[in-house]
Amino acid sequence: MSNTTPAKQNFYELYRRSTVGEALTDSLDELLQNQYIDQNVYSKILTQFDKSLSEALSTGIKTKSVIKGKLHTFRFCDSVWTFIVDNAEFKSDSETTRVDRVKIVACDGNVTETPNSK
Amino acid sequence: MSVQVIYRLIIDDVIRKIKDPDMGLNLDDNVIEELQTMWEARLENSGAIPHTIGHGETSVLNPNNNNNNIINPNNNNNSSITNINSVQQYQNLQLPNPNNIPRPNESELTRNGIHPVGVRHPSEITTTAGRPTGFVPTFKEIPNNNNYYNNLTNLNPTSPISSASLRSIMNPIPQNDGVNDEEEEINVNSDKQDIDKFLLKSIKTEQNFIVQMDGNDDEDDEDFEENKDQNQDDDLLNSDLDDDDDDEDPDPVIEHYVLCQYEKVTRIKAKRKCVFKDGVMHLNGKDSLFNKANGEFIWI
Repeated sequence: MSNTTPAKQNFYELYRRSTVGEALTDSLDELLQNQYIDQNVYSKILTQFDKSLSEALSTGIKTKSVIKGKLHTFRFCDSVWTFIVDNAEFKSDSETTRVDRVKIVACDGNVTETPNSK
Repeated sequence: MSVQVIYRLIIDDVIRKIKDPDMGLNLDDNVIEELQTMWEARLENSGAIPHTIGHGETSVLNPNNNNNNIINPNNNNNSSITNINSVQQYQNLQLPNPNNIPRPNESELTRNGIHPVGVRHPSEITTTAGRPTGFVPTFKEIPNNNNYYNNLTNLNPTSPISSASLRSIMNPIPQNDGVNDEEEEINVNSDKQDIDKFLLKSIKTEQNFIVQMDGNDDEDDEDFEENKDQNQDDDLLNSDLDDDDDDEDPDPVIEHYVLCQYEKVTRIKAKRKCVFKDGVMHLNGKDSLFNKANGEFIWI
């Protein structure tokens, strides 16, 4: 996951792997294949998506959750934590969800400055 | 706010920013409308959101598909060859469709001596693969079948018994495996005692009547295990030549996932405590969002 470097904030491309992100990516792929858009437009739209989603998550949601489980695998590389948790239990305000195995990918949320792009 | 509302806000914000001239994309409104329709349709079809977030306006590119904007994104793309259009074109070309080719009647084929590849009626299978061939061992003296059973029940002391017939007495089951048995130059008188002596002699000398041509020689029990191990070593199927597959893929495809940012990750012995924020969760096929999350994982 790379950091985009607009003027002030970092917006992770992490969320492109979500349902809404993949729906947008697939749609853009189709338009790109049919040459309705070019690669530059493709990248800019996705960058805008990263920004819009990050802002929506930070301002539009107040939900808190608790995650518990057995840690099967953990990895920390390039400031990205990856956890694979077995028998995970997710408790939120309204409901509890249990899954046999879940993968948690977490980027560094403490970065405030604009790093140099790789 | 619910997931549906958040996604609605995200889509609207992205589309609004795309339309902004300051962004410098210079896209046609038609393309932007089409992108929004496709995006919403795919999101709807994914099933991650329980309620529709449908786009009220019809697609400009496909005014005739008013009712299909949300159902299938491919219907709204007029220019590209959609799955449905391509299928219709394919059918109109009247190319040989494998589905239309009548399956030939097997009886007709067999009458003509033609058998479909890989399709054989069980009754038509004439191969003897796996079955013992009709190998008839050749004997110097072929035993008279009429006297075969007579020899078993009534040993005629007067008639000379050849080695083949003697063997047939001791081994009434005809041998159909391997090469001919070794023929021993045994000239046994028809005396029963002589036969007993011969049997005792053969047992003492551990003489094999049948030359074993299939595989390794059978050994005694003590030697059998050694040979068994040796055979296993020689068996390529169980050799070390087989590649050992990795027990676990380092990045397995997992159905459930959480995408978020971490604020703090600490460890006390085998327990890790994490503080996450701004997360998107996909659990049991449904999306959910959180602003803050605490994780407690025990590593065993």
